Amino acid sequence: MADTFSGPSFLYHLLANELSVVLFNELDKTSDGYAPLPSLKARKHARNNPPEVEKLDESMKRLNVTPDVVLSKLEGMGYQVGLRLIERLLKDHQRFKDELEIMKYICTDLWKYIYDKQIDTLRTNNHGTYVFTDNTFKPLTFFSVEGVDQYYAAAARFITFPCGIIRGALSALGIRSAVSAKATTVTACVFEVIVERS
Amino acid sequence: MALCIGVMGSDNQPLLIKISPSIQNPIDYHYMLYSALDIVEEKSQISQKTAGLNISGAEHRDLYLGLLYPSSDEVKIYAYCTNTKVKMILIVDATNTALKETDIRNTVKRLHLAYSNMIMNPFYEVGSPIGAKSFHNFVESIIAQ
Repeated sequence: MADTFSGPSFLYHLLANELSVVLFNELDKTSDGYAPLPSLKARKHARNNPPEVEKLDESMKRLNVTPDVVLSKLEGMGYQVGLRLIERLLKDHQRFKDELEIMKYICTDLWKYIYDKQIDTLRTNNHGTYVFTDNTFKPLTFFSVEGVDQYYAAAARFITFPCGIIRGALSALGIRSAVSAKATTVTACVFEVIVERS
Repeated sequence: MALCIGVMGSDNQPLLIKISPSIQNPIDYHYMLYSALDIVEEKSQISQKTAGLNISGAEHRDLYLGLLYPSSDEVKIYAYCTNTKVKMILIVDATNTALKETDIRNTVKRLHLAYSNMIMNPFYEVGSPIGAKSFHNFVESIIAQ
């Protein structure tokens, strides 16, 4: 896969995240897990000497990871975000009646909170499959690529995180689901949610 | 204010149980908390049904479930069930007549706010026992009030 990111690659951020988890685990377990803020001098030093960042291709090769691993990791991060975010957003919301009401909430309020716009259409077959269509999905409007093929390849990276958010939000509300997404045309994105019935 | 506060997760697993240090027999309070869970389950299910049929829906769709049942003369048990099925149970002294229903409602709302702040910590695993000091302190301050 011909992925090249000049500048900080997102894999670098993932690794930094992993590292911080390890570091925080070393801290006192009973504390809230917040590290003390580094001193002004240390921050200045860090700003003037940014860490060397590898290109995405190189670091992936060195760590022997495939793009699938990175995508599933991104999805997992989205899941954690969704799980926590929904608790806060629903703090003063009344109890939901049924599944459809939950889906409507995700399409309107949750989407508005994250992307400042609502999902354009919500369709369902009334048997646990829901399809959300967003005609101008915000994360897909900000990058430029050469050619349509490259666009679709790059889009996959931007839509896995939102998939995780949807799955996390639903799971917090007691709905186990599988979420997949596909960039259909330029800037449009279709999310398919399949609810697992036990 | 409260004799005992229990926070239970979505699968009824205990996340945090705090009992006032003045209590002689803490086991009894554990027992009350766990038996209250059955009623919380029942109440939140009934409220879902009635909401569907539109019978006094507004009241039943509230997250605050109120007084669970007219229990003994000694204690009163209040419950709150969030949208994510996290249950917060408050056991208060029934002999304390100064305590108003609105106070309980506000307290339990504040408890939910503290919980939703605590859950934002990315190093806390959702559904595991709560270790955050700030949340423990908050719960203790409610008990000591």
